Amino acid sequence: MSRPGLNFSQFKPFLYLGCFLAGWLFLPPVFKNTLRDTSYEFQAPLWVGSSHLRDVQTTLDLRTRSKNELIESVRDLSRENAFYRQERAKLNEYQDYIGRLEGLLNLPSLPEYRYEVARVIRRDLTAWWERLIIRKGRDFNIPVGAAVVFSGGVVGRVTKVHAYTSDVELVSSPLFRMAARFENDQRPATYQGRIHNSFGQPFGKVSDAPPDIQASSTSPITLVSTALGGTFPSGIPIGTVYRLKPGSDGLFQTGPVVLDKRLLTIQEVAILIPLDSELTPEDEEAVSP
Amino acid sequence: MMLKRRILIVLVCNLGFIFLVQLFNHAMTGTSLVLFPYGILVVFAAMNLRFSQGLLIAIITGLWMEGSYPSPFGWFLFLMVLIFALASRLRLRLHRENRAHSLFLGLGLNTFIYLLCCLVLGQWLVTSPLYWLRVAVDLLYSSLVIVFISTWFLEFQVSLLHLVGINIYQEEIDT
Repeated sequence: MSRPGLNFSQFKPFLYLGCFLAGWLFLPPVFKNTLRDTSYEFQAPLWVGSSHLRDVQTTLDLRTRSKNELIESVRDLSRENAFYRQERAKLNEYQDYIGRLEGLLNLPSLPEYRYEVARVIRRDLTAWWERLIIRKGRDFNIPVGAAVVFSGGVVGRVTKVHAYTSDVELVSSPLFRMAARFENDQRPATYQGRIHNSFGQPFGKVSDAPPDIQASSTSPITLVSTALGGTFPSGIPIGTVYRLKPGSDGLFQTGPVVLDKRLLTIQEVAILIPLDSELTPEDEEAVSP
Repeated sequence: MMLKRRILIVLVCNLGFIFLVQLFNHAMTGTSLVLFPYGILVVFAAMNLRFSQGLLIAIITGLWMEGSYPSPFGWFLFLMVLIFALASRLRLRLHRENRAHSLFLGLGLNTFIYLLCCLVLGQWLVTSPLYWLRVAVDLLYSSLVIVFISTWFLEFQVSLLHLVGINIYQEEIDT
């Protein structure tokens, strides 16, 4: 016998919720994955479209600049171009030298990368995840796990590749972890992203740092990537370490890593695609059934 | 036909709202403030539409959010259906013409789902004081934004329905 005032229809919403949950639990994973991908790909054109619109806006904005401003910019750029041309000549020389040494010493050659520049179409930086969505995906053969960099150093790693877009996990994300080393020191350490304050600078944490390394606010040291992880080439800056203290084990040191603030407003990135991992059209034909 | 139109209008408003919020968050990443006002997405449907219509809107809205966030699949879908069920249960005690009721319902639902997300999506961070500081700042910021925009958002949906000849306040709703 039901109590007076207790009406079954009051619980109808929760009954539906229970049925819905039960139904969801028994749905096959293939169906769920397809649903998720469809949902993503359905809204991806909105983001790609809005990104193109922003590019048009920037172009129109540039058109309003005076000719004098443009002439000054071209002059500055041509100076920088001249400097980079000299640097490229030096780099070519170094590469030849490395190649000769590798030949003499029978060393395996260093991994080579192709740079794929991509626009950032969405920055999604919450307390739970920090990721970027970039405007290149399977259409540009972007592989999952590829390193992503910008002028300030490491940006992150590609976590998911869609038809025309890719997700990049940011270096400041608490889920991001990579092998690192200090500049001018070959011993490895571990870097991990950390949650940062509102209005604050992004930062991470270095652990397993060798005990003899010293850092202070007057003589900070740069943390760079190492080739040990296999994803990043060696020597790309991650951030700056201003202090180190002994870790809980007493053997190694830990400390905060201050990252580049431009990471929070990044517009364009470069994806490093290992050349040996790329499939040629002949390989693809051989692989496809 | 009218039935389909009202579902479509409320749904388009919800999806447009999600897109605008994501666009706003994209523009505000330099401050590390994150807007999370998704609790108000089910308020209109729960207060003014039939249960089946509102449920359909909540499911499609949840699915749309699933595509935009890297959460475990089904999480936002579950949240949307859960807060829709809660709001449907509460609507008997609230006056739909009274915007203050809708506002408080939206604020309550939003705080509830935001804290649930903090506990589930950031479960490995719950011991960090910095995490809770950021959660508090984001929640305060989102609540303030809801106070400012919820009336506008709900009236916008009423106006759109009015444009296609549906006067939501004169209709009897199935409770």
